[in-house]
Amino acid sequence: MSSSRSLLGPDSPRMFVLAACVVAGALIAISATPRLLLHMPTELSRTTELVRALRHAPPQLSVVVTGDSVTMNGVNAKLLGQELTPKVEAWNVGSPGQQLAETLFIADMLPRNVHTLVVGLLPEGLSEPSVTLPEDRYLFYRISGYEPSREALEIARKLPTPTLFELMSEPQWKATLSGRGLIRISADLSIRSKLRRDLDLERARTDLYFPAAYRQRISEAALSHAVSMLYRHKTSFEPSAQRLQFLVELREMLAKRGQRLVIVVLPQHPRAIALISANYYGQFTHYAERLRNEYHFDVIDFHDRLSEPDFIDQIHPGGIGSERLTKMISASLPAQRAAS
Amino acid sequence: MLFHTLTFLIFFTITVALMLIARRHHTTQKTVLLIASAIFYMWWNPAFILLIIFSAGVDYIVAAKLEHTEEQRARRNLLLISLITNFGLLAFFKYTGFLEQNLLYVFRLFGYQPNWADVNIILPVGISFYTFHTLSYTIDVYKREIPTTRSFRDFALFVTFFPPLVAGPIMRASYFLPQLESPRKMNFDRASFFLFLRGLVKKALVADGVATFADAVFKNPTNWNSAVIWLAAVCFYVQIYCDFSGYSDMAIAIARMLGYELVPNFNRPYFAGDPPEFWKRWHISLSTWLRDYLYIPLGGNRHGEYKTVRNLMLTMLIGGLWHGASWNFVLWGGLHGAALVVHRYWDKLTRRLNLRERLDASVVYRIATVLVMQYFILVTWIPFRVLNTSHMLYTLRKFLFFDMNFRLADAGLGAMAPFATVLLIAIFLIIHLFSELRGGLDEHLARVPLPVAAMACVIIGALLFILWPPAATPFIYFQF
Repeated sequence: MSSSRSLLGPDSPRMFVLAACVVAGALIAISATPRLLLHMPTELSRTTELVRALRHAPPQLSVVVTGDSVTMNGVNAKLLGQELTPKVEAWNVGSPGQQLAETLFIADMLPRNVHTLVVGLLPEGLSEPSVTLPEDRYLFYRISGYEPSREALEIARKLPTPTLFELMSEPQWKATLSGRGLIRISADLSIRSKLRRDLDLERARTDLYFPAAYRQRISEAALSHAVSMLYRHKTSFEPSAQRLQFLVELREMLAKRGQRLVIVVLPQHPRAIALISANYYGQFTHYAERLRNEYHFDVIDFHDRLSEPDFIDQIHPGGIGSERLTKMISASLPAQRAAS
Repeated sequence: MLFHTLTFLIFFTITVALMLIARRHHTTQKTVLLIASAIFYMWWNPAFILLIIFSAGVDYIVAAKLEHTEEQRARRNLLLISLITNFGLLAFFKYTGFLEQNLLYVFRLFGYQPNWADVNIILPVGISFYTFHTLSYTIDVYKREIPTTRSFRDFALFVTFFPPLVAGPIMRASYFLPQLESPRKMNFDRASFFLFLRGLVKKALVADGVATFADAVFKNPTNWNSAVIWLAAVCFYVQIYCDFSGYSDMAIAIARMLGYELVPNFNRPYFAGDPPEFWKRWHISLSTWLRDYLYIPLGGNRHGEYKTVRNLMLTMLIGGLWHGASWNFVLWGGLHGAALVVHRYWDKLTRRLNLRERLDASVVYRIATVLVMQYFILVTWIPFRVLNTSHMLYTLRKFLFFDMNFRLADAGLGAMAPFATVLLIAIFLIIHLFSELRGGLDEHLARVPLPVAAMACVIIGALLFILWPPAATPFIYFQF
């Protein structure tokens, strides 16, 4: 010790102790992060609730609807269950920013008594080139207790883009490293929930029927700004071969378990439809037909079925819009069921 | 190779180990440092080390000749060789594309469409810094202010010494070369450690933390209202200080651990109350370099009012252009030059009215000047950050003429965490204020009992892991 002191300076042992303390702090943080994330409000906190709920689902649960915040705000599962004949228990397990890859995890966790999984997608959900997922989103499924089944891993493995399979195969600590940014988001969300009285974040986190967070219609100026930010003119619709492959595999997995997959193309804001182009939607409609006729998918296309007053902002249906959409889905589901 | 990466830790450990092995041989230690510096630089692009060798070689020879040349004209010619070589290389690598774009613009203005291929020259990292290192040597030797060094190894080590090589502080031969004359003792002490940690926290927690927001907004600022533009401008204001001074802190700390001293580069510039004070606190090594090697040789303030104003403006315009090949940087320098001129006349006016002493003694005046100066700094960072002209004009308009739209909460900024960003800025400003009033936190931590310091380190380690954004951004000044 004394020789190292003279070589690196008299204070060097203390400096190395302090450096070790920094490393120790980081290691403590790595090990505590998953637990911390489970108890902090983040945009992904709902995932934890969903995993818990699906693992302890009641035996009467029959229909599960999933998707992103458009599904969360657009489908009232309570109403859907009541509208179906016979009445069934239905859940809306959509979550903010949910991606198609997450449908695999939801499907993988579905209790056997569920006979229908309804996946809500916007048209671009069928055209984005690959099926991938940010690490922090997957981290939440992992820390909430989800373990992928062999079939789910197999579906991910067969995808041309290996990202999802690598994510599902990697150790948890690796996912934790990239999930750490969520704590910052969590701080933001905590402040935001105090400032934004128009958001019902608690409902968005825990409600299994109608987890709509948005309550107030945004102003005309805000709507125009948001539409210009979110949508761009597109001349053509390019279907994604990888997403199609994923959906085919997902349907096969569900079919083996006696469950069926229904794709609902969610309504888009009329201003978005006007901005994007008629040709895009013409090609999309044609593709939806192909999915039905060529690939035998249950596809219900509602992309242009809501009007402007049905939306609360540039993307999310409001109260009346969600009621209309839910009733349209319930009206289409029995026919789908009979056909299947 | 970045200071805050595992690669650097391995590199640094090996360098220190080799220096320990060679501890009884001062010259061997210097050779180890020189080789380490070359490896550090070559990590980016091995070929560009030849450029430094060439530049250093020319200056070494020029300085050796200067030592034996008495005739003034011959001395001046030798200096010119050094200036033309160094500025020529800098101009070629940094400004050729800029010149081409401007020529094209002028040609098009006269209806001529030249048919030449786009110039695409890779900018060697750190060229603006090491060019100034090496030039300080030949100019000082020319002015007979320092003796020449006999050893090319020592001179090459001065030019390439890795801690400040790619982003400063800019070194002076007169300050660093004497340190190479006698053996240095490595000093891994608490002060150096906390200085390094301060730099790391500035970069990783603050600069990278606020960069997410600034980058997202300035990618296309025309989408945003004044409140968002203001927040993004403040983010960049904090980011550039923490990014650059964080690098300087780490460089100074690493050099100190190896036994060498570098000049301080920042002194809480966001408490400057006027332009001269700002330049005594911001990028000190550059502003003093420009003062000593450009402003004073131009005549400084010794030849009347007109020439003083001209020299101030020229120095700041060139200082702006040093940062990058764009008219935005020239504008940035020009604004600072104009501020120095305005301040000069304001200072004269207050003296003529016998107000100077009373104003200097007034706390209210001090606070007001700091606020006005910082508002000005905020404005000037906009052309520095937003290089697209139409975007810059839009940003300036929204910044200067507030549109009374305070929407932050529902403007689609969720992923950018605007509230956490505001919180981070507030924490930074509180610590910055504390440091200005009571001294830096790192200095306090270096003095407290070991268990307290250890506890602080555990917390900092945890915070570094938790809050460091997974996608870290590169140091801003690397591009210069």
